[in-house]
Amino acid sequence: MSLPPLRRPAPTRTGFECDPAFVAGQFAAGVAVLVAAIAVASALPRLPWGLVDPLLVLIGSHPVINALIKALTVTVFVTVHVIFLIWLERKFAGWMQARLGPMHVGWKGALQTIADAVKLLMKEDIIPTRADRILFIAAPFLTFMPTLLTFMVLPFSEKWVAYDFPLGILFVLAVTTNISLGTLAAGWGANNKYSLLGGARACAQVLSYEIPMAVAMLSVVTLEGTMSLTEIVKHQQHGWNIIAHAPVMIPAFLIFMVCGLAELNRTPFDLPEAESELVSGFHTEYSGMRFAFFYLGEFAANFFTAGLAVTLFFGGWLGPWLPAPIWFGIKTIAVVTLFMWIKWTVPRLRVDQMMGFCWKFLVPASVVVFCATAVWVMVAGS
Amino acid sequence: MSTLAVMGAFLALTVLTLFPAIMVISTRNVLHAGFWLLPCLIGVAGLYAMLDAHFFVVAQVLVYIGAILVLILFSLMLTRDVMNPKAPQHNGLVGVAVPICATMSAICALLLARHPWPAGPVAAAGAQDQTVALGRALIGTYALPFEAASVLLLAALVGAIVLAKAPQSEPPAAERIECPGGEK
Repeated sequence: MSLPPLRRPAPTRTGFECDPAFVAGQFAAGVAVLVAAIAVASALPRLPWGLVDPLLVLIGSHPVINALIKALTVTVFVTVHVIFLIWLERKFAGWMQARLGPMHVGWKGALQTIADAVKLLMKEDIIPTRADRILFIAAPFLTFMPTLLTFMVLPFSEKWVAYDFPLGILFVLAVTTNISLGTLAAGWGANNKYSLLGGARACAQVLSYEIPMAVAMLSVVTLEGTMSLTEIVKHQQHGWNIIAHAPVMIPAFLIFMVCGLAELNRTPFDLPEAESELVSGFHTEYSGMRFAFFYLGEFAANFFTAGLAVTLFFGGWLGPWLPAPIWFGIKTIAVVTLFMWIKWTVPRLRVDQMMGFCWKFLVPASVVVFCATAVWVMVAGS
Repeated sequence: MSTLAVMGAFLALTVLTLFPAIMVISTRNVLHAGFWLLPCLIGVAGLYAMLDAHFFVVAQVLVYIGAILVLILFSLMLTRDVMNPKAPQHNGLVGVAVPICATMSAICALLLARHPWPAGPVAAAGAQDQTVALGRALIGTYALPFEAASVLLLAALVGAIVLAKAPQSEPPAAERIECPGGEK
């Protein structure tokens, strides 16, 4: 008796094999979207904005109303852009892993995040009986508020900045450290061992990586002689920092990026929320809208860190013939995509490696870069 | 801003500072006491903001909330007996502490009463100028105290490492696990 010969199953089509027509169609659609976006963007400055101005001046002249409008605008932007970012992340992850990602709700799944948000809103709000109720409730807001505050000083253009704070960089540093308070509150409040471990890890990680990040940002401050984010961009009129001062700014940018990834708890630094060891760490016990707040804060911080990198190293809103905020958006999304690329490529670090890498390599390296920048400024200045 | 608005803001900030401060010392949950420090310190930062002292606002948030408060909470989480609501709120030295604190408060009150406060509002320098002036003072006029503080911090850092690296001796009796049936 003989077995039938093994046969290879017929290849099934997934849509990812190189069907030239499919690829060409996708490419054409992409180009069309890009052209449309550029057309709309270049038409924007020619619209009769002058008609709106008197109204704006009338409303904006009152300090309290002015502040309220700015705060509201920033809040709405932070909340809404995350919807886009989550969709982008899922599509990007799908692309990296040769699958489609969300496809069914809206065009190419564009409305999937809105559906998810509605689902999260309607979910049952669970607070564990043994949890520390006050801390458990406060934690998502403690995590989200600092991120929201950082957007107040992020310059989308010379005019599009809610509060042009002269000590912008210091403000950013001061506010972002407070995110660890929220994660500590969540880790402790949930009364769960995985949450506590995750919270403690997050806190230690953020505190450690804050130092080289601050020193890397200090290098930029030394170079530009100002802590105002708008001034730093204006100084890059004749060349982005990373090109004009490449020998010192490229290492500074690399340190900034690594520390940024660590502060954002993204792979390879996602130890605080490692799914496989800590069942999502400090937000294990959270569900529904409280969980969504953690996610919102995380993705908004993503955009902010990318925006900060663009401001410090890539000339912020500067660029030819497109309006400034559009340039800022394009550059920032490019850096966000870089974050995503890293996230879906590298594995997670071990906790001792994470600490050792920060204290034994990044901290000395950032100090060396800082000293080199000081020498560079002296040489270039003379 | 009108005087009324300034007064209102000042009163609001005072409440924001003092109410949490009272909660810090009165709450029975040590971790909650730590978290009550957050609104208290934010209130102080707000008072600095009212004085146009931009650098101090940011330094307050960065150093006191971002570093010291986080450190306090972190060490509380590593402390035993945090969640015990029956833990005593003061130790045996309360009889000594009260007169010392009272004397210090009296001295502070006396100094504040005698200080020649300016009669009208004083124009503050811009944030940029303030920071530059402060930086120059720190590495110029006050270089020695500044460096002395740095050396102190360095000594504390080295001391902490030495303590943490010391070989583990016999754990004290309190840390042994108590078995209900006596030690086996």
